Amino acid sequence: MNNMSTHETLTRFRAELGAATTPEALQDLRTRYLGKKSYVKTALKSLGGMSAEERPKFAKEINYASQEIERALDAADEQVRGAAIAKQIETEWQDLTMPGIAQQRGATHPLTQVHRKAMDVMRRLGFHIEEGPDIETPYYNFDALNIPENHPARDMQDTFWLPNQHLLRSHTTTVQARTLEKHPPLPIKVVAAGRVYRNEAVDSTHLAMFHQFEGIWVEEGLTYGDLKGTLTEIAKSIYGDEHVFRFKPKYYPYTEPSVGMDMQCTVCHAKDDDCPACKGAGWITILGSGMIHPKVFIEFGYDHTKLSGIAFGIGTTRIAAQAAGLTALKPLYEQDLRVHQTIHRGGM
Amino acid sequence: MRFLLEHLNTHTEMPSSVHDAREVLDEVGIEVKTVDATAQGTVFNCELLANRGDHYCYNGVAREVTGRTGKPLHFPQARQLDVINADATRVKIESPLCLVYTVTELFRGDASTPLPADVLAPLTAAGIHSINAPVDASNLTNFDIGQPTHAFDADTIDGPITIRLSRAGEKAWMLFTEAAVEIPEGTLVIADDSKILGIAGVIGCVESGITDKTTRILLESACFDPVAVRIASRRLDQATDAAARFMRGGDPTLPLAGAARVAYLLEKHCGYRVGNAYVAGDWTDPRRTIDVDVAKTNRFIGTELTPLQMAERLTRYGFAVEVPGSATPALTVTVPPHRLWDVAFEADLAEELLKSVGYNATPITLPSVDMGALPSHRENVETLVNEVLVAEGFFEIFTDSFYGRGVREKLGLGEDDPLFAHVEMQNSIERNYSLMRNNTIAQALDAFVTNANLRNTNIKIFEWARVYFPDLSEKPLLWLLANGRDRGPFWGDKGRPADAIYLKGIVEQLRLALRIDLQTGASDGHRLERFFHSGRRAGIHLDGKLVGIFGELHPQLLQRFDVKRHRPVYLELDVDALQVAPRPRTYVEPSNRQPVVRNVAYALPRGITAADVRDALASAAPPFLREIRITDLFELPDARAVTFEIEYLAEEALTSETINAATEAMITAVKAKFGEAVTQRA
Repeated sequence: MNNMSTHETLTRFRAELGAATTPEALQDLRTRYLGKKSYVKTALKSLGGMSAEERPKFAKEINYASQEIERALDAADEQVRGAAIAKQIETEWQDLTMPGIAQQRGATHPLTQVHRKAMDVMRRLGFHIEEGPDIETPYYNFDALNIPENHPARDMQDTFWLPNQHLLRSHTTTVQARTLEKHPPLPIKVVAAGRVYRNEAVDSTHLAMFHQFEGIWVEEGLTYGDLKGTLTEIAKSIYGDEHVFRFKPKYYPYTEPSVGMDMQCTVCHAKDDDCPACKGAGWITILGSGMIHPKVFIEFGYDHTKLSGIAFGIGTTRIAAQAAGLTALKPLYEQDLRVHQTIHRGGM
Repeated sequence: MRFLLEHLNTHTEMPSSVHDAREVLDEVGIEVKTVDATAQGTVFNCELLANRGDHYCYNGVAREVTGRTGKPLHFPQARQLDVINADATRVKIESPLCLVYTVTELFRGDASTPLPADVLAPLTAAGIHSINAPVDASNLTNFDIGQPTHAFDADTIDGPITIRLSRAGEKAWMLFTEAAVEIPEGTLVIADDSKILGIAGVIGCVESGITDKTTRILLESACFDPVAVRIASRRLDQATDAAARFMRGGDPTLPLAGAARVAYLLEKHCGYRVGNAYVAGDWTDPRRTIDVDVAKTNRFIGTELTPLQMAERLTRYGFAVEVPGSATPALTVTVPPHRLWDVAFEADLAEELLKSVGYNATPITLPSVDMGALPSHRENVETLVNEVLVAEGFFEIFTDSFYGRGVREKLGLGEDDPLFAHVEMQNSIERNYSLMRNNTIAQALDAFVTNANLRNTNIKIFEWARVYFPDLSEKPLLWLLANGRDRGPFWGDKGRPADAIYLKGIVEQLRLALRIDLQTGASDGHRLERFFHSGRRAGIHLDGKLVGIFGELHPQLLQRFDVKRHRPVYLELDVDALQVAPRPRTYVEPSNRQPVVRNVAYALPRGITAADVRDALASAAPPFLREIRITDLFELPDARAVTFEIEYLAEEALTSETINAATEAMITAVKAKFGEAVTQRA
């Protein structure tokens, strides 16, 4: 090759380049035309023996050849690699209509999800969780909460009785009683969540066991407006900002005033007297609440003339059913995993 | 209770449209459940507040509406009665549980007629059929003003009417029952000299009841102690309208008004003549007063009412209010007799004012909050466990806290079994709720069977549950059950069985997530141990204590639950035991050097575990041993081939000679320990 002229070298390179169609062939060309023993490198070494007149001209010629070869090789490299990738892609086709493979996640129960959501807002307001037993005494379930024996309010809750005058708690308000009894430092901000029990025949809307989420806030100066504000925060966190809520008088033995909270019917928006969802009421009750009754404060040795307290209870079973799109409560407590898979995957 | 809107309008002016009338009732706490169009007019089916006996009538509901609207309240027309204090020859009150008792003489005329249909409309709209004029007038009066009355046939009464407690063994034949029954001793009854005439405040009796032949009536109108009425009603299983009214507290000033209303209806419409009204009872109005701090109440309910405005609103509900003047910012409020049973505190009056102003008419506020709260350790543990299980494909479920007695047989619990004793429900109306559960295996298996019967055998479920013990204590636990494959099923990845080893993997994941030293080992002594396959179970230990168990459920147990062809595995953990502080996080800088690995495989006979061999290898390990991993298991006909991958790592360069010598020393240690029992495989 060293005996060839620069022109001949380039001509020959171009001819060989046209035949090189693999990365290996191109690498071989690069070695032969730009490597240590190549015409270009040998010609450059010969510059020192040339006359002052010949040297610049020849150097220019060699440099041009070197750059031309390198440029051509780079371009060919890119073309060959692209062609190889295109061929790879063509041969590596996957049928992506096949179902995907990944470990399928399970899910926590819709009730747990509702509790978590409610707790998120309660924590922002400074509430923490307290627990209480399922097996209770009548004192914490009734008497301490201004529901004395032979009071009609006991009829509101059909009770499961256990040996030794114990019972299954009929509401999580028992935790409220136990908390107040301990006289923790003020302000008291406690949430209780869990199972409650009613001795009822089970049907699509009545269960013997269901879940409640309940809270109390005891502090000097709390008002009915604060109760409404707190409840609105909770309701919006669970249902969303877009809903309309209202408050109405209710009766709970352990609160005074007692307050029910309704959400405007999402089907008829209180505009259809024949609405099947709300039966024309326009509203659906979502929680019960009130200001803690003076008798409850007195029972546990608090000065009800100085302190006031907010109490609220939410039947989370109903909320979870609504959120999951269920028309009955019972499926939430059934073990047919198809129900849970459908709820979790939202019908997808 | 069903209220006829048109009749309610006679007690107070209701909003003109049905929609608005319904709304105003909702606003005052009389919740309208349904609205029916009937031949009598529009009927509101209402849910009443459980503590308000005075709401059980048109006038009571109307009073609530006037409290809100300020419209006048009308009391239905009544007859002026000739009232005489009853002497002991007529009425004897022998128990203080009778507060007031009146009897009024009514005489049927020759041309007695029934009440007209339009007068009966409130009863008809409520679905109550006409019986006869006195009973209809009595029912109407109770509907209108909330005073129950009862008509005795005067000619059946033997001697003075006595209100007393029943005696041991006494019997009474209550209306609408088949025969006389024994009345619990100490029940408040109305009696004459020879028989019981009625159960006070609950129901009358057959022998003294009026018939078509009755010409002389003694109309009882009284007020009784609410608790006495409630006890009698419950003991005798008689849930009457009168009992519903009295057990919530009657108005002791109302009996004469009730009698006067019945007398008016019978005299005006039915040709009856009215005689004297006899009154007994020494009840006196306690005139309970409550001071209302105007400023405090305004702050509490979010209003800016002046003392006069407050007073005016309270008088709408029947409260008498003294307004001392601007110098004393407090009202003195006297509780009317019809509210003696439920109004005792300033907060009770605040509620009245709120109802009057409107629960939605006051501002919504939110007190300032200094600081939020963090999740408790218990909540964090639950969240972390949930994350592990959900990522593994488990679904959380809730099962009942109770089950039927049949569970004992299904679990094979003999009477001497520690799990035989349960907390027994005393009054459950469903057989399936007889026992509080003391284990969750039965319900876990029931859940599995439910799904298996639906051809859904790849299941992973868990529950945060409680179990209950005969000493009435309870314990929180976490259980999970798996069956089928550990993942999938997928078309290209069959996974492996969700077996006991899989559950061990779950324990290891929990160990990492919770950063607590959960270990698996012997399950000896666990209360559920016998429910597991003895060769495929293990205990879960934490700090030396047995805190759980896992493994494959015993074939015999599976047979009892009719589980065929499946081998579900179950895990249970004591939740309280998990509430320990997590290990502090430590960080060891990864080495920049490459680890060196050697593999050694052994055939292990039954009885020698992989852990035994791993420990023997480790006993001779050099300081630069990093880890011994089991990378393969191959089941041979009479042994298991286990491959151990030994990884070395040192800060200085390790030569092949050093590594090989170290590996050889470890292999020698295995040989020394097990001899020919364990053979090394190529």
